[in-house]
Amino acid sequence: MEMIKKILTANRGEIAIRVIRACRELGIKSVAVYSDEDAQAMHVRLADEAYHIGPPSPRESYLNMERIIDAGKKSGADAIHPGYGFLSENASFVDACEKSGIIFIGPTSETMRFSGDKMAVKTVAKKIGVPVVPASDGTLDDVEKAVDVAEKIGYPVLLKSAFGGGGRGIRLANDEKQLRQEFEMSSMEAKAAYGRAAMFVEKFLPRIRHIEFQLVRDSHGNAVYLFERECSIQRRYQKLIEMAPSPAVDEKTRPMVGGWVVKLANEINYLNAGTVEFICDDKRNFYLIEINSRLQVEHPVTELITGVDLLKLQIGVASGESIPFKQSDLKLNGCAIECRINAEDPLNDFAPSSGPVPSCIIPYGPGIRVDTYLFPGCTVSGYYDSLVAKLLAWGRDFDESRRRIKNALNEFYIEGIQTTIPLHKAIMDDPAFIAGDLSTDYLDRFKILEKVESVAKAGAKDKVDAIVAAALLHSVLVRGGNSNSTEHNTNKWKESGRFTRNFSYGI
Amino acid sequence: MEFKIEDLAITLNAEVVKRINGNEMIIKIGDKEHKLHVICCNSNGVEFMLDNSYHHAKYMHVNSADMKLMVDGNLVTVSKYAELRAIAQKSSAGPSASTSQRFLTSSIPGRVVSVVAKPNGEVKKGDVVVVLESMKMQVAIKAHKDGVIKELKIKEGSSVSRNDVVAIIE
Repeated sequence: MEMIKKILTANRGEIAIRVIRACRELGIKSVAVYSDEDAQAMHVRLADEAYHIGPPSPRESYLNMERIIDAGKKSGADAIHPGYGFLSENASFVDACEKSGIIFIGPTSETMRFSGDKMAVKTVAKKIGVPVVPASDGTLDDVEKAVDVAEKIGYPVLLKSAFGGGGRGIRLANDEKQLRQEFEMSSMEAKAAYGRAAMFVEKFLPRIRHIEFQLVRDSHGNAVYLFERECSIQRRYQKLIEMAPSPAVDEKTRPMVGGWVVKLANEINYLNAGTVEFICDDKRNFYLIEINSRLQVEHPVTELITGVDLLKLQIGVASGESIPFKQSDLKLNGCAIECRINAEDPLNDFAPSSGPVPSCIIPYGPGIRVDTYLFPGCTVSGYYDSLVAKLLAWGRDFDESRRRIKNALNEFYIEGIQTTIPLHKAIMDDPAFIAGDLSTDYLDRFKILEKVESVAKAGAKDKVDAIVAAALLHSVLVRGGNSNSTEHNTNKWKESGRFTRNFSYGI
Repeated sequence: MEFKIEDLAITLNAEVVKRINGNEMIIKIGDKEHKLHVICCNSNGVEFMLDNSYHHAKYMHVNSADMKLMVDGNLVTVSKYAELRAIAQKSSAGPSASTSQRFLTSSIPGRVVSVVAKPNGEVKKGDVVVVLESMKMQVAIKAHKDGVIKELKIKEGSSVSRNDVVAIIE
């Protein structure tokens, strides 16, 4: 057992704050790292110590292994928590920590390398009887082989490049002719980009749900699954809303898939927290997609329905402790929904929106949790990703949870940047969402983006009188409060002059 | 005074009917009267009670024709004298309108990833002129009209702020 007394978080924003909070509860000292952009950020203020690691660009700061390990050594940190994104799934970073005698809070580098190889994961899954999406056994460099595989598994099929992640380079083929065309184009693209055209063919499943299971395994071989999260509502393969439990998982399916997760974890000797992702077709068949060997953005959803603090659990496991409960101790309680608030303008094709946030009002109330780095006067940087806050609501059932998060969205006020709050408001009232009719094409299927504009306008409609009164007030105040209804100051030059003298305004 | 709420396409007449004292007044919006009580007014905006409801307004941008303001968290554009301006606009359509639109501005703050258009090159409305990067996303700034690139105000690697001029198109 190694007592961890000081943890450095190799990250920023809300997840860095999350780690610091867990450290506080455990009496562990916290170390923050920051780039020039983040010198005044909340995580720097809250940590016990903070080290400057470079200029704004991620490559020279949060992705710079040498500088981070250096800060670790200087601060005397026993362990490093990588958060999510940045170096969280970088096996070389895990090795570097180990070489420096610093505990990496997460899986081993071997596990990370294995999880990063989707083909290897599928092979092991098949071996232990976990269903995977019907696909080619390995990568194909020949169109005839691709056609053979497609014949066997049945059209339509997806053609994917073995390289390039995050949803890039995926093509659909409905029949052999289309497959030959797409294979030709795809291989050319891949050869141009990566020098090789390693493709694989996978069965296309329509109307799929993305359902993932939370996993934790300790160094003594104890593994538990902390139920599922439904993450189907996505845009361009980025999750927007997550929730637990999933409407598509019943009392029989949950322990069955959970059992697969534990079996897989044991088979590959997984350590610490991770997530096993599945897709679920319209017949409720589950297929393994991949393993994420890190703590995820949406982990609070699981924390809310289980009462388990996953950060503290991760630190315990990294210290060599056993998981302090059994699978049978875990109970799924109530319903939790998370809305990812991104600094993007949904009315302007999700254009990024960075800049100062002079004022903000974070919602509170029963069952509301907000993980954020925002505070009045902070700045949302254009150098990092657009997630500014995670708004969560817990309720005894889905409806209570939904109403709570809807009210919280209405209370949430962020000045200075555009956010996806109007999009979430539109979804929370959408009949399909309420009915649980979710799939990864949810936004398109129910034309949610078209509804966002009308939801945003509806907010203004109630305020017509207030808006007109405010506009009228402006002229009244500009004239120094001596105005009479029948007098019209028709000299516009005078008006703007007085205004500049009396007011300083604007952002 | 006539006000048009641009986003909702609603036009209403509003005026002060009676001043009770420095902070209180009766106003008329359309044909309904309301009590207006100014609670506080400073550089952060104005807080007021309209009948029995609390409201907060912040004036973001004001000029003689219109104003952009934030009322209870809703960003709206209100134009004044809408009728007058519509008449004036109809009679002044012509070259003056297009010269003021020579400037192509950026809709977001960001860094220039690539300059697609060439100086003196022809562009059609909608053609990509420059690609910016912000928050790991790429955003294309497209030509707002057909024309010729008279000048490119940016180069690869430069930083732009929102509303900065990126090109002049004639």
